[in-house]
Amino acid sequence: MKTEELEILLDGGNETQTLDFKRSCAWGAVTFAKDILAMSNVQQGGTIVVGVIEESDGSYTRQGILAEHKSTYTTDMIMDHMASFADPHVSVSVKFPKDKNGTEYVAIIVEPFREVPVICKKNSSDTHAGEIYYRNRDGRPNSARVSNSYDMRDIIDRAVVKSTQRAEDIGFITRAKTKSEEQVKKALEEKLKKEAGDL
Amino acid sequence: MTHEELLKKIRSRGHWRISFEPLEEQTIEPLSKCREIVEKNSIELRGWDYPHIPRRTGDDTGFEPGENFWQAWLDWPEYAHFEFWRFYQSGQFIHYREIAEDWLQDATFDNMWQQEKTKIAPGERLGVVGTTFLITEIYQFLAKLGNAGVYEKGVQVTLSLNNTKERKLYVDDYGRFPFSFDRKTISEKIDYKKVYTKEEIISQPQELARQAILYIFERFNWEPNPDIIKADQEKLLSRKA
Repeated sequence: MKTEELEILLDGGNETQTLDFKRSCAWGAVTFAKDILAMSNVQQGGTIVVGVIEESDGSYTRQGILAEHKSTYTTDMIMDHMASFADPHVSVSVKFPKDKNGTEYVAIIVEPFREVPVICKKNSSDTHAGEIYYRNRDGRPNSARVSNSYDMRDIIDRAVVKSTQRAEDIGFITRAKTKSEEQVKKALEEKLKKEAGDL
Repeated sequence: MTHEELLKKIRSRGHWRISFEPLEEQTIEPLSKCREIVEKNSIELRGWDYPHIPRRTGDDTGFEPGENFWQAWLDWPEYAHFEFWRFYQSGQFIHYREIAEDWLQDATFDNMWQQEKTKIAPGERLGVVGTTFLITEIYQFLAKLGNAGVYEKGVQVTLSLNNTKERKLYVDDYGRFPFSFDRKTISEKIDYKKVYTKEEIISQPQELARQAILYIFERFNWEPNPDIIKADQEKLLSRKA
């Protein structure tokens, strides 16, 4: 992650559906699991930036990652720890970008699910097995179990599309067009063209 | 100003023509629902709606029905903003938008890495950030139409950039590095046409927009890292643009 990209995230000074801030801390699966699970179910995935403090008035202050905390973040270890929480597995990577002042942060980049939504499979102080976590948009973005039908439908629709695409990619589903389908399609194209006139 | 005059004006210089064509025959009834669908699903991510819904009518703007469509248009020369859209009962949507750089009086662009401002003459430039924002908005609007049930069997999207011969990209962001050499196209027109399922337009508007953006920029001899485009899209979608 380049400085420019980090600055865009920090500059807005707000958590979003795809962006979460945490103050400097050592990696801990219980601390991060719910956010990672939630972001993996968001269309674009998300980023957790560690090294940002939330003030009492709700604003955010740049802090940076403390040296003793930085060494606890490795992609392999995070993937290993998350394997016990996530079904199917999540895909994350860890970067150490610097902001324009040279202050270093940890950025945990969470990829969106590839085919099916990620379901939590482990109970902890912050998670419950069997739940689907999402970055809810009601009010301030937060990682919580899916709270409304619109978000659940969004997750399901995307899973259907991705699964269908995967099936087509491996040749499991083929779609044969009949001659009549082609004729109907052509007739509609002509109709729309005529409708648009000189537009 | 009539909408015909406005269209002629928009077409006289660089402009976008955007269309959504449904893949199945349908008739949206009653006619007023055409207006309602666009009004309810218009999006606003940066202080201006896409597509624009006029809140008044006058010599410079209109919002009116036709035999089988509703249309809206806007003629704002002081802001170099001209647009016209029409939404048919068939579900077809056509939108014309100006390229603002072709209409701004004494236009220049300024960059912290350059000592002098650069003048922009009509037909010369296209901003990369503005283009990214516009196409992202188009697909967000399309996603909402999909969610509203307008394109149940899918849709063909055409983005057409017109009057582009010898046009160059520029970085319309003060703090970003400008291009070190001209990113230019010699094509008079650039068309991007894709067919999507309803599920695709609902679930992946940002990704689909990014593919269109990269396609268009490639025709200007610029192939940016997709993450750069994604970051700009994120800025817009999080309303930080």
